[in-house]
Amino acid sequence: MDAPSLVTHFDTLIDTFTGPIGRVVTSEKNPAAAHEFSFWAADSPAAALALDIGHIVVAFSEEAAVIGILDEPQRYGDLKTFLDDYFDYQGEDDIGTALASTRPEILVFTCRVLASRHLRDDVRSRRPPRSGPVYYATPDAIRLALGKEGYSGTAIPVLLHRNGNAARDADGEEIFEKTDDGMSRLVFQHTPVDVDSDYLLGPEAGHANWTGQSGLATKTSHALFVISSVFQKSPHSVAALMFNVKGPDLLWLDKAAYVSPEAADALAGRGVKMPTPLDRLMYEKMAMSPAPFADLRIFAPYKPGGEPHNEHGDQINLDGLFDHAALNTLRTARHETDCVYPILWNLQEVLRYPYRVFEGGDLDDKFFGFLSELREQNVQTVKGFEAKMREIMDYLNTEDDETGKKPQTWNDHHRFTILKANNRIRNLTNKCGGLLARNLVNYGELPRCDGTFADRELRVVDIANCNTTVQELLVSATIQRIWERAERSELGVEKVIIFVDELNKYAPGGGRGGLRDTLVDIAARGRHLNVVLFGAEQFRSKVDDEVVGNAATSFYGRIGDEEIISPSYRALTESTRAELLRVPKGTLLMRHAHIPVPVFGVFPRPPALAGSDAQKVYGASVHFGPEESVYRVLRDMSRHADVREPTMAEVKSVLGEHDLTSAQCDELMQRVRRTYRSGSRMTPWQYFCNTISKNRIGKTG
Amino acid sequence: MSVQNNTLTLGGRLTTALASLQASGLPFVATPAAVRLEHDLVSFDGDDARERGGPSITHLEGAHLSIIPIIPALPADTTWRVRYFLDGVQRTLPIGWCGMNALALVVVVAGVIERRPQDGVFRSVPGMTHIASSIIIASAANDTHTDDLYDAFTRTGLDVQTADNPTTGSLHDGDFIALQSRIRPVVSTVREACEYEALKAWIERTDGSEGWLVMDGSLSRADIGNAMGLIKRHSRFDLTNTEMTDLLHMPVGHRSSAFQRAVSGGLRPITWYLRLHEATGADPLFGLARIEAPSQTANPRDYDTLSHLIFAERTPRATNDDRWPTLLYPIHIAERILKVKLERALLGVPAALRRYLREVA
Repeated sequence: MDAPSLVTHFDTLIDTFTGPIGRVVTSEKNPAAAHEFSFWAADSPAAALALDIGHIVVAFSEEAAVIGILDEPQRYGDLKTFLDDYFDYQGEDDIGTALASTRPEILVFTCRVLASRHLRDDVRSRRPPRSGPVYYATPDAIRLALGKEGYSGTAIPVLLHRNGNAARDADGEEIFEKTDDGMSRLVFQHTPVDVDSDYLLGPEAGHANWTGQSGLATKTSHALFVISSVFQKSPHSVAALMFNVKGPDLLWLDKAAYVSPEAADALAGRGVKMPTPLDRLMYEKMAMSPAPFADLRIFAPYKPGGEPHNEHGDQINLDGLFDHAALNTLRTARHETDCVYPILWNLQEVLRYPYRVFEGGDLDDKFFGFLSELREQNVQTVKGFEAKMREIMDYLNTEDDETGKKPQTWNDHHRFTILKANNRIRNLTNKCGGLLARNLVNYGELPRCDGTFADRELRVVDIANCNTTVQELLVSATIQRIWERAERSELGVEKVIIFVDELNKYAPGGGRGGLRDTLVDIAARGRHLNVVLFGAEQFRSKVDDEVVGNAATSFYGRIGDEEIISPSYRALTESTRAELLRVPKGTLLMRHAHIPVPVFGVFPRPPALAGSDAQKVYGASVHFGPEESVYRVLRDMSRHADVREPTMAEVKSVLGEHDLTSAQCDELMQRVRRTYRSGSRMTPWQYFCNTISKNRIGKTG
Repeated sequence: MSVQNNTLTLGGRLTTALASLQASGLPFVATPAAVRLEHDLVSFDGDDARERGGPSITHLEGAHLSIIPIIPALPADTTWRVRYFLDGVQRTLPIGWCGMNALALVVVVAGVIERRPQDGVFRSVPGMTHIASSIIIASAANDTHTDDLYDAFTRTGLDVQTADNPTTGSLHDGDFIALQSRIRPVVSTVREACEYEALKAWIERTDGSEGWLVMDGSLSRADIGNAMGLIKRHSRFDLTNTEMTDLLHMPVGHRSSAFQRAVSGGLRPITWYLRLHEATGADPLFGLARIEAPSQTANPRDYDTLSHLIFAERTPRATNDDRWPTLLYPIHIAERILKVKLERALLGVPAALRRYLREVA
């Protein structure tokens, strides 16, 4: 079939409005091949001048449309050597002056083939394109090229591909947008880059990995965006677990970044960086809502020394009794703590992870033997341990009536081993300060960081302010317990995403250890057990091969020059690697199981405010009175449930009848938030009134 | 029987003609492997070899040839600029022989390229490219196959030219080399005609105000408005010994005074020499070009202006071409553009000859 006929046949794949933008060239030295071809870019139309790395175009072989992505651009001139140009200007007074003629230069792009579409549906063509016109690809062609026709699951948009041709409305007219300075500029064609949910969340493949320099690669921002996309598009019940490791980064994910213009102005006035119109457009193009995470739950241990204790009993009851201000998190503003929950362990839980809490040199067989003895003797708490040690020391310090000597062993454990264990275990209260309680811990009805998940729940474990021991302990323990839960099919949802940053640290290549083994196990078997690992790291080359190798989807942001030369990146072309050295924030390169060639794409700001911004706005210590606090909580709950919200006067009236203290108000609202079920016959306001009456809190109680 | 079909390509027509020859039983022998005649017949002639006119010249700036420096800047009031360039390329393939008939196919592509004023980009001007092809039959007198050969090619719509001009050399019996030599002047004629067609198209489409045209080679007429000829290689000088010595000593950035050669029935264009590149230590003709200008440019100011315009074209240099000292870069580009069109025009020709050879065998 000749080129005009092919153009007609495949007109849905090519941008005929823009027209040809170049021509395929083949030569003896550079033939077109099944997977790569070259074309020269035309000087006109204007859209041809926009051609750049990462754009997607369409050429034709005899009977097929060949869709490719632009890789290496090279500008060719007819100079044999640079000296020729020097000689051209020799004798000229001003080398800035143009010569009588400009040497012709052409821009030739190497194009890597993404897909082909044959005239017949049952033929898969791999024939290279012939010399002929090249067109920009339409969104249909890009979807085809990105393998969307082969999806077995749901399409999850993760990036937005930007081509060099104009976006057009239904009438084919070019779309323009207003810039901040009031000028008008062309909007480029954007096409969502999707991934197949069956290959992101399992069961066909799974996991995703982000690589890039800290602060430049926007790994966490994009991971949040992808989680938001999964929450919006996945037909399965799904939840996610993240660890907040820096400041307030992940503590305000329930605060919308995309707000009304008035609210945006107010926020911007407080120095908050707001999304641009282009960010909104991107959400629109991806058919997504920029809604924040409605079901955010934050878990944090106590501040060291702030953990509660009960000297008169065995147990600490946390349910409804914990003080948010004592938690080691930045989200402590009074009216913003309804989604914040404590983490508190007893001694027995800490001793499950000896490699995390004790130095390697201390961990010999004798030490393990004593720990085992403690377990057998059911020593669960620090208090219990102290009592047991008093008992042991009494025994060891008692002289034998006959020999007059003190025993050297207790239950076959040598005195020195016991003394060493005593020393190390007593020190745990400092080492694990804020996490380790002296008593047994009763969470009651409170959610737990390693408990079952709710659908669309985003769980954040805040370890930002903890010491390294507590951080590693919490990450390891939480993931391991959730993994154990997955093995028992007790996740509570169909899919759980676990986001682990700093994989260099937790799953180093060639390393060994509890979490590394768990992460390798999750990477290998997770997709079958519905646990998906979203991992991120600065140095992909330093992460365990199995962890990165099992990720069916990989994203690359800005990579450092030392890192890019490692073998982990050798599958990328030279120009792609060079591009990764300078890729801007908000742009990522994606490799996915369905896409033969990596694709660059952009993504909008996440749907929630940046942690540092939100902390400025919501984290400030603004003190509301009890009425105001109760009103705000009930208002938010009512809006969330889309039912009538109470008025301030109503709240004041009811509270006036009960005369509650601030602490009682907090306790009451915690109970209401915890026990109110969305979809209940009662509105939050009714439920609140019911609860306050039933529980007889305050003066009338 | 006429098999003329206007949709056929050159290769297609040749195939049809060869099939006809085969059917007629003529002892035609195809020579697809023969070296093209531009290689065999490469002349020692210059670009002015086909110039007519006697040795008598008239000096236009004094009684004798003088050496004048090129003006450093264009006159402030001039709007003259060089914008168009005309060149032609050819391929002459000896397609075979039949008795004492040597046959060649010549394909010529001539065209005008434009240097766009806004960005200096070169492009072919639409409608100003002309392609000519001819079968040339050089025959010994009274050869019995000549007419049949002529008919066979003519019937397919191919232009056929005979090479019977005895002035190109005496022909004695069995002188096949002389037969081949007779082809060359015909090729020149075809090329001249083709270039003239391109020039004619330029004349018809422009009124001269858009800029000057520089043609590679001699101007065919003296009255073509705003067109210059540029002769890169020289085969004749009509100067005195003293004048010639002065010319050979002419430094770079200088021109000779203008002169005009008389021909029967009129005058040749006004002409002068121009040194484009430093020749110290090199051949004395190195970088020495000759400019031809139409006869209406009849004053030294015009010669100065045109010399300045041509001298400005010495850079960038056409470094990929051995003729670079006198080859203007835009002419070099024009040649490259036209050569691609020439190759396209020749598609199928070698294949037709090889096919014929196989089938006859």
